[in-house]
Amino acid sequence: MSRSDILLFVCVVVLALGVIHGQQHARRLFIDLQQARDQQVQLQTEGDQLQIEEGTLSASRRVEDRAIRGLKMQLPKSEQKRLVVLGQPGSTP
Amino acid sequence: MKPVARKKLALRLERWRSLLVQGVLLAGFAAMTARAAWLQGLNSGFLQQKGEERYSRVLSIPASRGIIRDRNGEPLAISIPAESLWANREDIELTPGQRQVLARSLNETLPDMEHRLHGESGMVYLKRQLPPEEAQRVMDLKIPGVFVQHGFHRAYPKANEMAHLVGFTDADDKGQEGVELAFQNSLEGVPGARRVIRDRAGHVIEDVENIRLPRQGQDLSLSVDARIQHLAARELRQAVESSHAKAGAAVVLDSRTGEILALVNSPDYDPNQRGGLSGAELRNRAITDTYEPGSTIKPFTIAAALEAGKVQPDTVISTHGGVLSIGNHLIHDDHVAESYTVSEVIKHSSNVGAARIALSLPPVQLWDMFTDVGFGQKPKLGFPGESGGRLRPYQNWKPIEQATMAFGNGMTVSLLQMARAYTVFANDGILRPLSLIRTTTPAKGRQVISARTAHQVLTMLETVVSAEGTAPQARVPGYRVAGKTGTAHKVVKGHYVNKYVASFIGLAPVTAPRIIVAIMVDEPEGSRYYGGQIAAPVFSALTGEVLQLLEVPPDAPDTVASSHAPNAEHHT
Repeated sequence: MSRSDILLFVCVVVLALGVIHGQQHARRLFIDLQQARDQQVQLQTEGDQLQIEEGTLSASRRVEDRAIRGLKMQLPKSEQKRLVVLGQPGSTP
Repeated sequence: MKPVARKKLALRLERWRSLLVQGVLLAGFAAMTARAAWLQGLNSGFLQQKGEERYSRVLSIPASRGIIRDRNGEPLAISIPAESLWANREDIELTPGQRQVLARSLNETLPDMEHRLHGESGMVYLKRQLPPEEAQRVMDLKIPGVFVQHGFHRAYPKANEMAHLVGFTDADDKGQEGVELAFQNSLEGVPGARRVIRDRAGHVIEDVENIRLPRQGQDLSLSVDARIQHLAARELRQAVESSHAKAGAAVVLDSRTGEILALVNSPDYDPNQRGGLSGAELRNRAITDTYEPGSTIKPFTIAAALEAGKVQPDTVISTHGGVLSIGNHLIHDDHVAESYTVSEVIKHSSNVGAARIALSLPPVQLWDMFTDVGFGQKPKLGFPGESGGRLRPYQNWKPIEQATMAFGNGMTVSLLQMARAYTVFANDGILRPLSLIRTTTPAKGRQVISARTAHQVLTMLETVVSAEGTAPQARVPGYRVAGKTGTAHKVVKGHYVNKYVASFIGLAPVTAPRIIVAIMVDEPEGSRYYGGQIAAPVFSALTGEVLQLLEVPPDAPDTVASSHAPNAEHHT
């Protein structure tokens, strides 16, 4: 075997190892990507669930019900309301 | 020393023998080379595929249904993952212990579950739309023949208040009612598929190809405002309860864009719990039910006459002491008067006056006016079950029919049609298409009556809420409002009966109209059944709240300031 043959053989071995390493690296990254995707779906679901919860808890009907029953508040009657128009006497803030 | 003696030792090998061995060996090599070339070169695709099949899988990429939101981004319908459990009746094997646990997990009695499992052969759903944790608990029992299927569950955070508008989906996440059905195609998500390679432990380690990209459902922003919807639902519910009415509906429109800001019906239902629902609760009365509109139609009769140049607002119409006979029919007024101006016909809601004005017109002109503002045609919202009402062709109108149609008898409309028609008085005579979807630029409208006529009728409609009009209770402190009452007898089996539909259709503020509010109460009980008594107060309360919410500046601040001026400073 000539010296150049040996050199080429060494190159082949080194490149083969490089390929193995690269493949391994690619798989590891891919698994990370996969996990990130799963997590995205999970977070999306959680986000949607929280939106549902928020929407349900903040529904005007529920808030009003609790204010009236729980806190004994009441809706003002029209004669209890005052309209404040800026720039009119008695309405300076 | 010639090797003579060795000569005897020399083997006499025939030449053909070595050639044979060589040939056999060569042939063997050639066969192996050919086979290798066949496998490695020509047939490699097939083999690689076979190899991959050992560990490649097709996975479904889920696509969820679009979210429905109100105009401010509040979620009205959201899909979250849910799983369905199903069993193959032939394969399922249960130990007595597992039977107990399974029935308990499914929230069913043991006999019920057994009954379903012993039906005909094939697959049976054990439970649909379970939260993933609960489905997992059942799967952890590792019962042979029980499988899980991934899907979605639709949740409606605003429950009853949005039920009729948003509608609902079935267990397969397909729209069944309301917006869910009307916009099924764009809301629906189409799952995709991809081929992947998995390792021994089942982890995906490589994407091979995308077989089909998923199409996520498109989100939808409705024109409706959840806050206004709540106010409308609350006011309507109170009115229906206090008048012991059978039902009711309310519609709020943005008069400048034609957007539907609120649309509610009573009774309603909770789309999250749909067991045992009756048709009455499911019905979207404002869109699908029609009724005789009664006096709320009069402004259009007057508008037709004004357009035709037959009358002016101050033209005096003789009302014959409140009774008019046509053939053998009698038309009555509630208030007895000898004559009214055209404007007063609206203010006092005179049937005789409206009938006489209508009879001065050729039928086609009245029909044109009704048709131009959308009566007798569907509003084309794309909403399921939209009703167009009934407006008979003018060719066969008898005089009595033309006269009674002038005050809204003998024709039917939906509340939504009525609300839309009133936009012509708010928009200088332009009628715009309605929209369920939030819009930034209003759709192009159509000039139906002249701006002059629209203003004249609007001025008349404002007198309705004056102290002498039929609906002083419709007034809103701080704002100028205009509208018309309607009290119509109901028709049962072709005859008018003593049951009523009380309604009020109005707009505000008069100076620069922003909203149309339409209220309808079906069969109020007791002695109070007039539109001015039942529907007008709802209009007043709702309109006041909506205008405040929309931050519309008051155009009549004196109406509040004058009555409460002394106290005003204590409340600033």
